[in-house]
Amino acid sequence: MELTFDRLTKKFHSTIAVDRFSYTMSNGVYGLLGANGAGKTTLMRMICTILQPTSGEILYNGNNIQSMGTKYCDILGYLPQNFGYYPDFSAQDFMLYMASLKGIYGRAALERARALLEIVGLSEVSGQKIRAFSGGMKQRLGIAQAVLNNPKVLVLDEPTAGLDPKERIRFRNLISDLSQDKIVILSTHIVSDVEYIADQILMMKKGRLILSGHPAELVERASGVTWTLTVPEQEVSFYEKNACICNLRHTGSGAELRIVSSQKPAPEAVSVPTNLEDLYLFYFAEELGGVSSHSARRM
Amino acid sequence: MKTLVYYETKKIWKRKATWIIFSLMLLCIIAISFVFVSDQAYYGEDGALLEGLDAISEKRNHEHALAGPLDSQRLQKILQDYQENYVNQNYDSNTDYQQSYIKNVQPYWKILDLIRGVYTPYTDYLTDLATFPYEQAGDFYEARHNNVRAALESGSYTAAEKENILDRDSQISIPFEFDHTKGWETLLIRAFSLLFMLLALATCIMISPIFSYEYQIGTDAILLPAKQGRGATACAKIVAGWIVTSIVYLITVFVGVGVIAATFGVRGWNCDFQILSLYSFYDLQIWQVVLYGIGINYIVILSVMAFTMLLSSICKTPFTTVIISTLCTVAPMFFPASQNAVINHFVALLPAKAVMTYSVFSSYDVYSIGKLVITLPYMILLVAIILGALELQIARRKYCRHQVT
Repeated sequence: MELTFDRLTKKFHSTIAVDRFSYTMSNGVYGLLGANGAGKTTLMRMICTILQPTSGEILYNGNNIQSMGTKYCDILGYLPQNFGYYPDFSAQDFMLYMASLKGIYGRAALERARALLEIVGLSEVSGQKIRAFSGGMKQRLGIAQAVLNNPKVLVLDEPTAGLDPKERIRFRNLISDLSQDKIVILSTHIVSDVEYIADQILMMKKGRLILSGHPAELVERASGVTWTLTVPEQEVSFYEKNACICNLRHTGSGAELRIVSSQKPAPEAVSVPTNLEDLYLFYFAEELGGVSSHSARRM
Repeated sequence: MKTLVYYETKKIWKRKATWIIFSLMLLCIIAISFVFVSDQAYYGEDGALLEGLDAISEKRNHEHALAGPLDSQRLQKILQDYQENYVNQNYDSNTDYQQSYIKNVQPYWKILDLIRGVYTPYTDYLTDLATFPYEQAGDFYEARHNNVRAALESGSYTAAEKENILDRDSQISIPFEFDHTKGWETLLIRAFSLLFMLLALATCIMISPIFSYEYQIGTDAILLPAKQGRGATACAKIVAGWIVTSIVYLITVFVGVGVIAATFGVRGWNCDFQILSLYSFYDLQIWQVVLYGIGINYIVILSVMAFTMLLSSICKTPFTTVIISTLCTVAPMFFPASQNAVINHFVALLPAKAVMTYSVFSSYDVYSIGKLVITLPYMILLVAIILGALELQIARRKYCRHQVT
């Protein structure tokens, strides 16, 4: 099973949301990382055929997904960002409605809906209206509807947004459980969401794929860009203005900074192992409103 | 498909707006019916002014006593009696004058008004008949037909159109059958246009979210990638819209007609429509016009539904949809008649005018397509069906091709 992106491009007037994105996915979990506006959602919408590419194509096992029509829809599951729901429907009604949309009817639909509501921990509230659900419950309902048809390609757009840490961990585990024999594409800008469950990380910046690989491999590739440095309190503001600080901890004798920089930020800085979050900051510092990680250095 | 239709129907019924507008509409109908009843007035035999249900009952009894065919001789005799027993009498007091009115004019008023309509057609008051020589009033139906011919001559009709109308007019059943028809008159002239405009408004409000609500709340993103999410869902939405519109239509018409029939009675159902609209050229009885009206208006309301669905598939929110569809549907009601016949022909086909059954079956608007002359009711049906089908097709395609941006 392969999902291939061939120079996929999407333009909105003069803005390029996705720029010649090329990649091939096979079974596994793919974590799509990028700052807001990087093009993740646009890419996912194109994967789900709800947005037409300006140019390029997406192929599923060699076939253009647009021309596959309902055959492709049959193997697709999608949880969009800001998952829309019908507030007056109960969870069970919603699942049965979604089942009928996915071509599952009658007893099979009922059994599948019940089983999935059990898996996502909503079986006890299946008769309640969705309007009464918390954000986490709605997201779990969202994932349940996405896997109703046991999809081969599962697309999850920011599934953990707005969830508390406990819900996020629960959600990650759920995705991990559901990901067997599937291509799971998971977009987020919360690095820890994909750090443990993704087989491959894809980093997007300004619509382009800038980096891809296994999390450990990416971290390894970026070794030597993370530094720690203890400075007096009065120098903190200098580093805040001139360096990409990913962590700051005040100690009794000053401040301990964790800096991401391609260059040693100060002679006394000590190189430390890089993690995925550091790597993310290394590439997206500017988008996140910080200083470029390529420029910080004290003379 | 059945399951999809069930859930799409459920979505419409579950919305508060649906229930609010439906309840308001039924309340309006009952309130309007109350007004129709309460403004009825009729003098009793003792000279007391009766109102409401008492007036309706008294009038019904008096007019029903005159039920039967209105042949020319009978009409001439009624005119003669009016002039001799009422107009040409000397009254000693106002009381005598009023008593004479109650006895000699009030029960015959409707028939006398028909006579006035034929022999003094350019006047508005019954008193204009006072001086008309009754000896000349023995050719009621010929005179009426000649008036139709004269009206056509003064209008901008083609020869084929004139011929068509005159031919139809010469085929209407004569003599006209008379009975008490106040209930049907109230229904066709006053209640129908209000009833169906309310229905059109309700349809706009109930149907407007059908596609645009999905865009607004973001469910389009989960519907469209689903296997049945495009074509089948669009069809299910259309069918659900049709089911809801039809149910609401049936209940509303049943309540509306039922309340009027219960208060005014159903007498006069088999009278000729010309008793209500003297110069109508349709050979129909009142019950047939009512049924045609209900049928045509059903198609018109469905076309309003189709138009609303089209807007809903284009607009991003139900609010925009409901504003545009309501304006487009209701506004033509206030369009004045134009000097331009083409504009009038066009306006007559718009839902706000098309649901005015009494006007539609009284109108001399005909449409020529090549050698074919089509009367207004058929043209309304034709346009509503063609446009409705086209709008639904565009709405379906628009939804299926919707891009989530």
